Amino acid sequence: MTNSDLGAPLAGVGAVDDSLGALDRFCAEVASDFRRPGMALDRDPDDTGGLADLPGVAFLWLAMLPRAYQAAGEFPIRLLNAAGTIQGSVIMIERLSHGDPNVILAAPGPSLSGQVIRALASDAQADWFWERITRRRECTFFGLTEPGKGSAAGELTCTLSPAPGGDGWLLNGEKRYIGNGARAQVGVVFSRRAPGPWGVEAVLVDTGAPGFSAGLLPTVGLRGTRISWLRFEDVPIRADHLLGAHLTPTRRGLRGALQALYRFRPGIAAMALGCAQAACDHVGVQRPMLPKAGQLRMSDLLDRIAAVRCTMHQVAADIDHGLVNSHRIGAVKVEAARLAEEATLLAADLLGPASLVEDRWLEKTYRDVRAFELMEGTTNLHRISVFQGLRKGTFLNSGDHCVGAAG
Amino acid sequence: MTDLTNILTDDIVVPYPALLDALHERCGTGGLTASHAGYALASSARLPGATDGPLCRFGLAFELAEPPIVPGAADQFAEGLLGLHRDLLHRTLRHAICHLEDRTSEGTSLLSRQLVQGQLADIAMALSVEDAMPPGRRDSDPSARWRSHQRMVAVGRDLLRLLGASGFLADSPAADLHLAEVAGNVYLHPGGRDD
Repeated sequence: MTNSDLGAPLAGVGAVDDSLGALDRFCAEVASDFRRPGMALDRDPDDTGGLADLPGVAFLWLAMLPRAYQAAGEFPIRLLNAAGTIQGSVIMIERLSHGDPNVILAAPGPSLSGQVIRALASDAQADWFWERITRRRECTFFGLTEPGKGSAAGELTCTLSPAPGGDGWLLNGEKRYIGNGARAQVGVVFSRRAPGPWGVEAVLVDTGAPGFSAGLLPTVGLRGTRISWLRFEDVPIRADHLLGAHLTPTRRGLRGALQALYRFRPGIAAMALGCAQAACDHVGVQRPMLPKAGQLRMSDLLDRIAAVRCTMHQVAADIDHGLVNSHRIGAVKVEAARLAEEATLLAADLLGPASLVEDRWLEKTYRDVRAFELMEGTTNLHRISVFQGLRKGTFLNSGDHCVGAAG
Repeated sequence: MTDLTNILTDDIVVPYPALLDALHERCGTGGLTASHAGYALASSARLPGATDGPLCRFGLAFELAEPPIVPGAADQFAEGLLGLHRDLLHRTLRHAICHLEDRTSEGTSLLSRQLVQGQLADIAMALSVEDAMPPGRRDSDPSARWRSHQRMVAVGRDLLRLLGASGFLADSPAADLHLAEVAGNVYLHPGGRDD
């Protein structure tokens, strides 16, 4: 069976507290609003005009802000508090992605940059960032990946050199595959100040600064993420915009990138699972009576979606409790991305000939879900990490099981 | 008539929609060959009045049309589609090898990595199986053609994974592989929604 009843508990979700349950129901209710703007973003990735009016987008925006910046009264505080945890965020993101992940990605918000700010910024830097993006409801970007290098953080070639006169820095180099890079107003860029792992720094960049240029890259799908190239030619960086300058070099730079990525990665898994579930539910609506062979294939897929969802919740809850197992976090993202691809392939098969020209939503989702394989590290990178976890004995844990999972 | 063997070379990359147009010509029904589902796919240039949709971004268009009545035309077109897909996979494999040779990590080419070499070998072996598939098993009937198509979709996805984020760009082989998947969905699906 599918979960076509919006708001029904998702298979694989274990017992959650009242606040997380309420968050789940709220997000399930507002997610269907995302379908129409999601289709519009596929036609024109800059068609973001009406997004802010959607309750789901308004909630998402507040949920990603620190409590001090959350406007009071618009949404119950217990929902916002629940969404502020990693487990709450995967619940929220999976439900909203069932509507459409493009809307989440195109909406203004701190995104990964916010996680870097939380990990590295001084109080003054955090105030500057949060006040600025809340005042102007800005889009942000996270600038790590470089052309020809991918997201290998240790091999960055963008440079940060002292500005003439000794006041601040100059940023030079290029970034590629940066979500919202060409549409954001501010972002975090990782660059190299000195050789070696401790020579990498994270800096705040205003996209209006001289020497900054950017453009959209044409993607096959998930166009709402507005993947971009960025170029920095002697971009001036204020001295107080070097994040974590109050920390020792070993506690800033790459450390901030890794902390942000580990905390954000379950969210990509949640997006993928939301799309996988949506594709299965779409088949259930479009073709309620599947033949036996089709039922078996669908049931097998739903079994695996439930299992990965269960693991995703465990991994998210672990992060909330300070336990970060990078191997398992990466594996959940890989498995969820695979399921999303598989679900759309199965849907196109079960819905019959020409389903990919007759069914616009399916054709779009079929393209969109391919992005999850490469977002937050490709499958191959995570396979290597899983192998390393196997060797260290930190990947498989025979004691893991879902307790009280629905479905 | 366009000769497909001449335009599919290493040096000249002909977009999939143009190859599809050439296939229509080669099948010689006097127009576009339509699928049993009642759709004809061709380049946007060949169908300038077709409905605007997301496929147009990739240069492909479709129109409603009657399935061919010329005996064997639909079979010939379907076999041709599988051939286009196979050629496209070979072309993408060559592209992937060049791409991985140019990409470096920790000072060495990605092509020198055992994991990557193993994946390329898996893909090459899967492609060689498709190349060697006896005609009776490859394209003798709709069911065999659909199985061939699905196997090639899997090979294409594996190839695109090797290309990383560049394999998601619309100006990469990803676009043509998407069109080959759509064309298979339209023309090669065995029909009847598996009822």
